[in-house]
Amino acid sequence: MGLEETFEQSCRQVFPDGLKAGLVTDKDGVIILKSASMDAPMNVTDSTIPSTFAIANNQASKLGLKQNRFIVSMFDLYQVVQLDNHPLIITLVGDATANTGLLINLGHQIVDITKPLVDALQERQ
Amino acid sequence: MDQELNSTLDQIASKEDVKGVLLADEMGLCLGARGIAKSDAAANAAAIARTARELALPSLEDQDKSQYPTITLAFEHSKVVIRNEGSFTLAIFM
Repeated sequence: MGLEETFEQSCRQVFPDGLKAGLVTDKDGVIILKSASMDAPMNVTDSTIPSTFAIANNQASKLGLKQNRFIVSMFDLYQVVQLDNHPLIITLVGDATANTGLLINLGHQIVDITKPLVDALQERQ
Repeated sequence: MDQELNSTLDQIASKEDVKGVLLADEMGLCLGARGIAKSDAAANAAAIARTARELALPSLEDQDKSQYPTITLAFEHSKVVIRNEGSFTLAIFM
């Protein structure tokens, strides 16, 4: 099964638990993989979401606690879980009432799924 | 601050036949794990408890404690007992 299908399938399993969209992007917000439910908010593909995380992640890693791994942002209507998967960023948008733990687990799953891609990108650099 | 919580988890974990204990909060985040219980499983335990509750109860409003189900997952050589009474989810591995 291809990378896109595996990613799509993994995200689809979490839609019933409140996931609205799953994105894999680079540091600038350019979309590499995307899976969105029918009722995902319109601006979920905005490049500011991943690029803001890149800055926050960078700053968080300077707190003297070694590398920051992920950030969970809670809003009134949604929650956003973002993981550092250098050079990629994984963004998961869910309902505010969704199971955060499941979103974090999905994030780790996506890190495993995208490992071949990340290795290939790191080789190039 | 979490002394009482930790001592309660230790107490449960030290009981005979108990191989692991796990406590998850409403968001599926792990509050404590003992023995064979892994913190990653907290999210799944909370999700199972929530789904089971939705199965039996018409709405998600606060109900009498007796209305919340106790879920037992029976494996071939072990079992997991999960319970949630509105907020935290407790999973005991036996």
